Amino acid sequence: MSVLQVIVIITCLLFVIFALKQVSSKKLLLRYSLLWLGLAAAVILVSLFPQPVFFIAGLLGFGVSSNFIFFVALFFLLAITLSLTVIVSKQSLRLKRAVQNLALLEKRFEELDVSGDKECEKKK
Amino acid sequence: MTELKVLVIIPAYNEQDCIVDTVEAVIEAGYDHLVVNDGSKDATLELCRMHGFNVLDLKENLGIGGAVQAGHKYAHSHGYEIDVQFDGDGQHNAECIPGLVDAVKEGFDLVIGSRFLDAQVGGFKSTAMRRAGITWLSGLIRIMTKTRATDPTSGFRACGKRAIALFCAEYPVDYPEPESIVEAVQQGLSIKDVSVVMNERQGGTSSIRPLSSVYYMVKVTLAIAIMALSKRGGPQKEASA
Repeated sequence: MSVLQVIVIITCLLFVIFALKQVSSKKLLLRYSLLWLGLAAAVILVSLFPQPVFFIAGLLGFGVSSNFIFFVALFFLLAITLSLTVIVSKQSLRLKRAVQNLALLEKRFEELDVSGDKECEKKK
Repeated sequence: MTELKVLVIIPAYNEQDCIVDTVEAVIEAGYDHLVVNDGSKDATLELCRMHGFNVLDLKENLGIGGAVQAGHKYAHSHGYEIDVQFDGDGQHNAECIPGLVDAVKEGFDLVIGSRFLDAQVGGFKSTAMRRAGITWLSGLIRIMTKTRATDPTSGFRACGKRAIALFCAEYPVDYPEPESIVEAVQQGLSIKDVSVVMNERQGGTSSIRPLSSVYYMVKVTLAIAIMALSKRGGPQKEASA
C-alpha cells in the first residue's frame, strides 16, 4: 500500500469520526450526515482498490486517471450542494410560515385581551 | 394517594378515516386527550373541530418525533404527571392504557406497550419482514444499552414526570421510538415492557414506522449506534438555530 493511499484513508476516517461526533452532539441530523458518510466510504473504497477506477477512466477517454476522479468528486459535491440548497429553501419557507402564524396568533391574543377588557368595562 | 393527571397524546397525520373512533375510544376509557394534528392535508382537523376534540394544531408537518414532542410539551405545561402516546391510526387499543399507566405509577419512567412480550397474546403482530426488523433492533438495543425492549418501534408508550421532562428538552426527530429508548437509558431512566394487543391499521396509509426497507434498517441501526456510543452528561438542550 502506498503512502498516498494510507494518507487518504486516514483523512477519510478522521472526517467520518468528525461527522459522527457532530451527529452525536446534535449539531448535525443523521439524515444529512449520510451523504458525507457515503462519500467517505466511496473514497476509502477507491483508494483501496484504484484499478477499476483507472480502467473506467481510460475507457471513458480521460487522459489522466486523476482527472476522472476529480470529475466524479466535483459532480458528487455539486449534487450534495444542490440538494442542500433545496433543503435550505424548504426551511426558509417553513420559517416564514411559522413567523407569520406566530404573529397572527399573538395578534389574536391581543384582540382577545382588548375585548375582554371591554367586557369588564361593560359589566361595571 | 392523590390521583395523578394522565394525558393521552394522539399524534395524527391524515387520519380522517379513523381519528374520530380513535379519540372516542380514549374518551370512553376516561382519559384526557390531546390530538396533535401534524399538518394533515385531509379532513382530520375539521373532523376533530366538529366533534369538539382537544386539538393542538401544528401548521407544518414535523413528523412523528416533532408531533409527539409537542404533545409532551403540552403535558408538561399543563401539569400532567403521566402522558401516554396513542397512535391516531386505530392500531392501539384503549383498553390497554390502564396497564401502561399502572406501570408508571409503580415507578417506571418509560413504559412501552409491547406486542411481543407475551407469546400467548393475540392481536396484530405485523408482517414477518417487520418482525425481523424489530428483532434486530431489539437485539441491538440490548447489546448497546443492556436494556430489554421487546417492541422498540412501538409508539404505544407511557411516560412519567422524568421522561416527559427529558423528551421536552430533547426528542429524536428521525426514528423516535427506538432512539428515545436509548436516550432514556443513557439518562438513567427506567424502562419497562408491558404486554398490549394491537389492531391492524383501520384505514389510510402508514407514514410513521416504515420497517420494510433495508435502507431504513441501516439508518436506524446507525442512529442507535451513534447515540449509544456517544458519552453524554445531563440532557442537552437541542442546538439552537
